[in-house]
Amino acid sequence: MKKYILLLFAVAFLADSCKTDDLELSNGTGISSQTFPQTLAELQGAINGTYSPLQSQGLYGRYLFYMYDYMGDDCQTQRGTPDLLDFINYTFTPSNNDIYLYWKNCYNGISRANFILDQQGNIDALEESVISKELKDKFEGEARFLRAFYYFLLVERFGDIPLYTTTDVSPNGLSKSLKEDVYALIIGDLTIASEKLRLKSVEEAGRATQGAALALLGKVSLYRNEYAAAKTAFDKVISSGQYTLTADYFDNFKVETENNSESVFEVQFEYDNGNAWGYADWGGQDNGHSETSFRSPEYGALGGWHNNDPSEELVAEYEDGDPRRDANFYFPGDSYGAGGALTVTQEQIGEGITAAWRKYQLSYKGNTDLPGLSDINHRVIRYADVLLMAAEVENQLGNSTAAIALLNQVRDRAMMSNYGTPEMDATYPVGSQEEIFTAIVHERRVELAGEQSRFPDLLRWGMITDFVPNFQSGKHELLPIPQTEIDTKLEMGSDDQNPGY
Amino acid sequence: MKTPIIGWRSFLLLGVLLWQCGFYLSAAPLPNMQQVEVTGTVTDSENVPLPGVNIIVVGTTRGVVTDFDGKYSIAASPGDVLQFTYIGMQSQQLTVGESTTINVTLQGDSNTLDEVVVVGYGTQSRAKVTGAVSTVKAEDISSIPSVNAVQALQGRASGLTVINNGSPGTSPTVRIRGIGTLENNNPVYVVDGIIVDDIANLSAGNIESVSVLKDASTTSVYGSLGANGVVVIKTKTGRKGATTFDFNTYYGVQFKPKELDVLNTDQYIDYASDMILNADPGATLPAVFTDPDFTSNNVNYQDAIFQSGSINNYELSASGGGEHARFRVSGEYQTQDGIVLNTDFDKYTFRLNSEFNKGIFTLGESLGLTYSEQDPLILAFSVSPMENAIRMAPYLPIRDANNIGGYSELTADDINTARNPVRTLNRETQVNKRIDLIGNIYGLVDIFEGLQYKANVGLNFFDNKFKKTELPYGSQGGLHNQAITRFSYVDLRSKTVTFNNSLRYTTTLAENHHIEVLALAEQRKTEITSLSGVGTTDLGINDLASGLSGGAGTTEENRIGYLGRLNYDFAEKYILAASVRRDASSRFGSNKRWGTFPALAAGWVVSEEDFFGEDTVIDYLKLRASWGLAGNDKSAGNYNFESSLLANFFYGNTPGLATNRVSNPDLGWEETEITNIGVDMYLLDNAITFSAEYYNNTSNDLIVALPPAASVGVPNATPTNIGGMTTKGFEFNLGYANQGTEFNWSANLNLSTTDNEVTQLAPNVEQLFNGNKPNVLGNNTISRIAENESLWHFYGWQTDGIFQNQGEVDAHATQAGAAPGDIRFRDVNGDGVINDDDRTVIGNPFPKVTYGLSLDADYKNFDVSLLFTGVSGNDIFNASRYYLDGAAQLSNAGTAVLNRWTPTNPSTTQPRAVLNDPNNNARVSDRYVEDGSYFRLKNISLGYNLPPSVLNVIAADTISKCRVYMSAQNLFTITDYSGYDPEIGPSLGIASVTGDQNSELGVDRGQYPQSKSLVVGLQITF
Repeated sequence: MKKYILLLFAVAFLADSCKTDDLELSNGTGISSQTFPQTLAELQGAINGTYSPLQSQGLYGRYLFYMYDYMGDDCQTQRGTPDLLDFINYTFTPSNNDIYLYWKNCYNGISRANFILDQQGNIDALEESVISKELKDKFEGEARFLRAFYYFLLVERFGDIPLYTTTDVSPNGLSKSLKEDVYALIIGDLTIASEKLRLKSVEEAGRATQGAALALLGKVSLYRNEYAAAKTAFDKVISSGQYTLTADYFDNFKVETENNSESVFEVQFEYDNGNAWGYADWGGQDNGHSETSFRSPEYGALGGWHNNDPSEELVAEYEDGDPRRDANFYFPGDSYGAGGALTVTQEQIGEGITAAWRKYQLSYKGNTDLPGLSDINHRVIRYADVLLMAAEVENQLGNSTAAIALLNQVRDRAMMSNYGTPEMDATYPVGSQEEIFTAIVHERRVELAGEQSRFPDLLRWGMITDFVPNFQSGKHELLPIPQTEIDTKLEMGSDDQNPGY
Repeated sequence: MKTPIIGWRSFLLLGVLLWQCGFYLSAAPLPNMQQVEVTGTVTDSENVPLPGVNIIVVGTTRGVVTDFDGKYSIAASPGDVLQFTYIGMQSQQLTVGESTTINVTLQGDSNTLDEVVVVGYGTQSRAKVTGAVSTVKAEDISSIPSVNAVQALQGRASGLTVINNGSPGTSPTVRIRGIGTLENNNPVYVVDGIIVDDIANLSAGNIESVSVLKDASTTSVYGSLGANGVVVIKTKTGRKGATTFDFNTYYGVQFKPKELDVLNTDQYIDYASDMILNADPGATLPAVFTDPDFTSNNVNYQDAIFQSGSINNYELSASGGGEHARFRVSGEYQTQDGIVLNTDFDKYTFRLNSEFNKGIFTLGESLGLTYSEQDPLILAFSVSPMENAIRMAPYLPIRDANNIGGYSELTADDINTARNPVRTLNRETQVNKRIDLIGNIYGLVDIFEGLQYKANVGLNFFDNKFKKTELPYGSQGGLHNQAITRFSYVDLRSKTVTFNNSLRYTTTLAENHHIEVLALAEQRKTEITSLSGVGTTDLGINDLASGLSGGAGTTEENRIGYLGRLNYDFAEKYILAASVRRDASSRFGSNKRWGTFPALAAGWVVSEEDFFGEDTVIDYLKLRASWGLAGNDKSAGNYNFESSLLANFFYGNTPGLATNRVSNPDLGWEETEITNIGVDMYLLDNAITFSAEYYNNTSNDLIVALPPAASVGVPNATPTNIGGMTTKGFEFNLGYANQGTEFNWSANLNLSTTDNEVTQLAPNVEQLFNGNKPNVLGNNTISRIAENESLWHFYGWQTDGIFQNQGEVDAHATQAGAAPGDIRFRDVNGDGVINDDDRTVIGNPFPKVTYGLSLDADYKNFDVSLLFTGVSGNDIFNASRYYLDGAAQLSNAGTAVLNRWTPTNPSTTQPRAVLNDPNNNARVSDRYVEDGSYFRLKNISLGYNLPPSVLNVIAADTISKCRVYMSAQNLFTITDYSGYDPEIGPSLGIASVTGDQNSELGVDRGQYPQSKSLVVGLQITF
């Protein structure tokens, strides 16, 4: 009998010795996506992670400003890497690595925004004491704003693209959607975001706000020639009372005056412990501290790599005495560096070149453009641009007075004569819709020089072939879809490539 | 053939025995006589009394067991046959003669059917083995001086590939039957029933037996761990009997390796000048080329980094036991100084095995504790000291008192960018301190006759501390300099607790139906924690108390398994085995966590059949076949099936979170279907043993990391069960033993072939290169995986001679940068352009044949043994030749460049030297691919046992055995390979936990060569 008790004991032990619960393990150094979020800090972290691609090399860290500035007529150069010169020469192919990084970094942001929006059920279920309703709304607004922002960057440059609205996809991803569907998502997201986001006055610097969502919504509408919708959006930004133009135009391109009253949406760059090189996004990996921009060393002539010069036409576009000319460019004899102790030479600028970039250059306060990489925030949408876009909308709607008044707000800050005055009528009369348009073209060019506006402006105005001889109609309206995207996808073949590539 | 196969040996031994006792042996049975009391002592071959030996009078039920001192007493009549049996020993039958004293010496099993083979969760007699199992004997393992027991397995078992590395303390690459997965191919080790990842911590002297399990019927009992094969190790235990002490020691010297022929200073300056002027005829040559302070030097840096080494070992053990308790305790110290400067290894091993029983209860344990310190070979910016030694300018003296630390460095003016390897070896040092605890405690209950319950709890713990120190060197502004001291620390701890419970029922029905049933439940829980830190100081201190920045991490993995197994045989003639294991691993996604691994095997001993003639040369013939599924979860990695949020995406310097991958809840085990067919034969009165196997391993669901489309927006690939490959081959073992009275000799040959092919990668993955590891040369990867090709083949351009003139360049496909004197690369795809698309398969690192041959002989008190190992039919990618004759950049080179192409020397083998190599002559090409076949005398040893007469004089009755020996390793190697050593072991650098190095297989980056060594040793038993 004793033996059978032993046997029973042994069998029971055998059957019970293993617990299947032990098989459910999660990465201790990561947060399980299944149960996300548990805390405010987690949700805040996921939102921060959604902003993070803005700083990456493919976007405002390096290649986005090159791509846009080179493809317009604001620049001249034949220096720099082959992948970058492809933009100024219009020789890019589907294997251009910078296009790939632009594509990838935008989709990194979209995936992160989608992840947050996927968890909306989990988030809503959290107690008010963990995350308040107001914060939940604000976070949703940020996720939607950023998703729309990244999709706008993509749809403008690639047309029909894969449209992800959730992270529940296979690694192989989705095939292309029509660009109209992408715009519908963008407009929907921005509309919701503009209702759920906070006002700038109560929001932390650097985050999306109601004003940012409305300004972007207005811009999207303007680009689509939907003027009434654009007007509604811009009017709300203007009437919100949240924004004014800074007294000094150059305050928009310095470290000390970041996130100022003119800033509508701004990508944040920071040195941390002065370790600029270690904090750059080398290779577009978009992880770690990608907290500095390549803008200053890339464009800089005063010790920088000097890979971009302002074009002669751009420098010539300025009216005499326009302080924005001196704010944007260095000329031989100008002083620079700490305390203005150093003097710019023609040799630094280069033989046969009139000016070098001053905008976004650290040499305004340092002795060289290369103390490291730049910590100057990138102003993506500033109020002056909103006013100019609003002026364009009013002009298109036939409201010439309103249009001229908006233009003159920008003129006033520059302390330049107003449009519609006799001295201006000599050069830029504003007697007709066409004349006002010409004034807008001029004003946008001088106000927003080197701010990635000229290329998309010329493109949407149908004027690009007049100014950019390398541009081929029917091809260069869109960038090629990166070859790796086509290669790694089962559903995509060479017929999915954009025309001409 | 009905005679028991051990018969002939019994008679032989009886003869020896009786002769020794001074009796005359009569062949004819003596007439019937009255029963007498026969007494005697049973001992083993080392004269140690054997308690517990079963003795029966054949044909009767009379039987006794030897006592504590190996003595017995049994009633028998002259002419009766006594049978002595003891597990692990050959049985003997002796006929009772006139004497009433019969002392018997039982011999250990060696490849006989009575050999007890340790298999997964149990033991089997060799006669009942139906799977593919190779065994290695303890004395073979300890015959080669090695600080890692695995090194000594090389050449000893068919199907087992061991690739050694000369670096002291570096574990070799071990593969069973080639490789079966794209990722982790390391076999599983099982020590005393506990699964462990590595046995570097075991000392050879503690190992009693090693079984290599190769087919599904033996490995699938390990479920999701079995597919790469299993090495089962049993450590030595005590036996009943008087306490025995063993003392072993050896000392060996290791000789400096061969050096590669490089240019002397004059040749170097001539070559360098040619190279510089070819690129720019107007260039100014470096001033040092004509500076007598430099040109008068002629430094051979290889000579400076190599040294003669030593290996030294002391081991003392005591074993014994009584009626109810047995023990063995041992301690060992080993030290090895490597043949490269500042590489060495020390190891301290302690082990205690004991077992206690009372009635139906048994309790036992085995516990090993190891502490080791390794000074590994350190790479400088991914370049080995051997490669830097080849590259250094010979005019540069080793030392320069003006530099911090006192070593010279090349400067930008020298153009050559090599780093002084004597400095890197002296100023960049690392020490790895490791504590290993490996042990288990088990309890047995014999519930009733034949039914046994066993619980086994194991703990495997290690703590591995790495500390790297990079002292300042060079001078400020120099090409290579560092003004501060850098430290990096890693502390890695791993703990695995295993718990298994089993019930085993063994019975015999109707005399001949032998049945064994096993039911087992097992769980394993592993936790690995790491702490790491890096810091710098400009103070002259050798450790950092503060100022470190670092990180910490913990990973866990848990596994659960249930096993059922049935073994059946009818009279050891028809043998069947069936098992099924259900296994779950936390590494798999929720949908595929559980797997089922069945196996079936059958054996038929044809020679036991009546129709099998008696008078035949074949004494024994067994046919066997097995089929089954085994799994592998090692390639999955931890947590890789799930998507998790990592806090590494900062915005405004506040941490941001982002998901790392698309999750795959369907991630499951890799599955290998293994079919094995084998035959075992003994011939000519068992003098010849032969076995042959054919195997076919078809792996499905291999894990391929699918890179996400860029638009999916996540950084990491998703592991997916999608790949497939096959590995197949033959294995042969051939043994011959000639047993004489004074002269015995035996020979054993094992030989394996293996052939692998990737059958499927993934629909959108054409090829895989080694992404994370530095498997590149210049900017080209070397090894590749592609469908319908062998794994990790070398992939590059084919060369087609040298352009002798511009006409030849123009006539050839467009090849950017080509000029006369450059290499013509083959336009493989015929598109008229030489580019990446012209790369093709240029070599295969896998040997077609791997073999080992051992010869053992003894004459009177002398014994001699030889072990030859070799491989044939493999290629080596000799990456050192990128520097020796690649001429990609200016560095010292091999003497081959003396015959370089110049307008006046129209070489057809060595291209022109030109700085920056515009034609990219140095690219990955078949230039660097060499035949890797070799044949090596791995070991030769000669021993002498002091005869008892001498021992009695030295120390009466205390010393029972004293053997002195001398051995030599790697005495000669026959090979066409031009590098240091054709045996390309695991890559250099910090040892990783998983240590998988497939993608570097056969790529020689200045390997740490294995040395020739000479050893003297002493073994004493008392």
